[in-house]
Amino acid sequence: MPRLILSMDGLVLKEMVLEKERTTIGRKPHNDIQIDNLAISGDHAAIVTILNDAFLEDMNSTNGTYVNGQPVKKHVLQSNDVIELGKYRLKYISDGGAPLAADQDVSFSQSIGTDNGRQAAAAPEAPPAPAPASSSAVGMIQILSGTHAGRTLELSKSLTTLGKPGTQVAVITRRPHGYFITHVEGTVFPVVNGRSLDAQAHRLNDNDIIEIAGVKMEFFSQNRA
Amino acid sequence: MGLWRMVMETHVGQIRGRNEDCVFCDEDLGIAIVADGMGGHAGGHVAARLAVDAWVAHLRACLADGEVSERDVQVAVAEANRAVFSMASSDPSLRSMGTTLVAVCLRADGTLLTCHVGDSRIYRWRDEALTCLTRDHSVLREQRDAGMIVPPSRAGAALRGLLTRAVGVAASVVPDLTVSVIQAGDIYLLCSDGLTEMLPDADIAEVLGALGANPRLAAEHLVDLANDRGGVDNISVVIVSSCTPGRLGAELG
Repeated sequence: MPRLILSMDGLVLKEMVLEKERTTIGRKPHNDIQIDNLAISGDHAAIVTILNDAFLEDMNSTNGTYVNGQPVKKHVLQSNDVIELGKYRLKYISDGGAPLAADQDVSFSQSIGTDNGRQAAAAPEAPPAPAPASSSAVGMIQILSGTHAGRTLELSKSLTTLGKPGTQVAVITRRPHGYFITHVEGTVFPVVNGRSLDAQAHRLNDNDIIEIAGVKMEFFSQNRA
Repeated sequence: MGLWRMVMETHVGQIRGRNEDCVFCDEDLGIAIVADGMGGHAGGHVAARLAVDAWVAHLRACLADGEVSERDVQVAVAEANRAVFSMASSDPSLRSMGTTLVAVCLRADGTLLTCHVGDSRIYRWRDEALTCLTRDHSVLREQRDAGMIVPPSRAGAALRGLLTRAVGVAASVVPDLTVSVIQAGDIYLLCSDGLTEMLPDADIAEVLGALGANPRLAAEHLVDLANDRGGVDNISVVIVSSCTPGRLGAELG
């Protein structure tokens, strides 16, 4: 049964099992999960659970609902997603076997490292969910040439600047609908797949080859573990 | 004082039907202003527009005569207040309209004059640090300063936008004025609360630090970010930049 762990400032306040088809979260008392705090809207968000899938929906809350730091309106929850409402965090855990509040990353790596049959008695791990084409994907840059060739850079921030100040600089911005590259400074504009950009933001697709200040790099997106 | 670049950007946001913010900047005059109007009906936009026009007109006249003094800026705010208040008093449909006002004036002696009424803000980016040069004239801010409430990560909805000072709601208003010495590389940001309600200071700092060399891009990105996070109010920014490269390309070493 999927669960939610409610915490604030790192302190676990409550653990709840998502037993209903629809679980509501908000400040008003009629909610399934009531959080009595002014930053939480009366009816803030809802989670609809169908079999093993859970869908989070923001109910037009004033201060918004965030998942893993990104604002969401609707979101397919993955195990270990962290939902943020105001100062409150709700960690979503989809599998039923793990002990209370166990760190999922740790238990996962332990089950890999343990090869002595003790784990074999446990229920088999659910296969990893198929890669969602959602905003949980994070963009990456791999440097292909120059002194930093081979290095990868995770584009986890809202913006990442690339290039040489004073010569040529471009910025990659992270938006809800994708990653965009834009020229910032210098007389030479960035080149994507052999074509020089103009002043407009250009949406990046997987395996685009970007050239900035003489350095070639490849953009790709990767789903968070 | 080198060459300054000023860019402005204003956006209705994702929720509101009207943009009641008003912005103006002029690189040659060295002035920039943001006003966030309020009041039902058309009142908000009218108030913001009247205040900006009156403030700019007074500053223009002063600049034609020479340098701008603190007194001049005070009079300009008084002019803005009078324009809004007299219109609000004479037209019942515009009654109780008002506006915030933040403005800067870059002076030839290398100083920056700021004036401020309401919950719009002026930030300064200098030496990799963001400083807010204004203190909101809002109930929330005053309660917070008095220790009555703990600052929430996102301001409580009920108190949002309740101002303790505004332009045009009374016969007179007292603006907060500051004078500071400008340093090379400074970037100033004037904005309405539609930006600061959506973006914590750390995100604003990130954008100004990375894109300061391209103020147009920085302004657009700030507005995009505020919209991406909900855009619950009108979003207005004016960036005043001294054109030096910011922290750029750090990621590639």
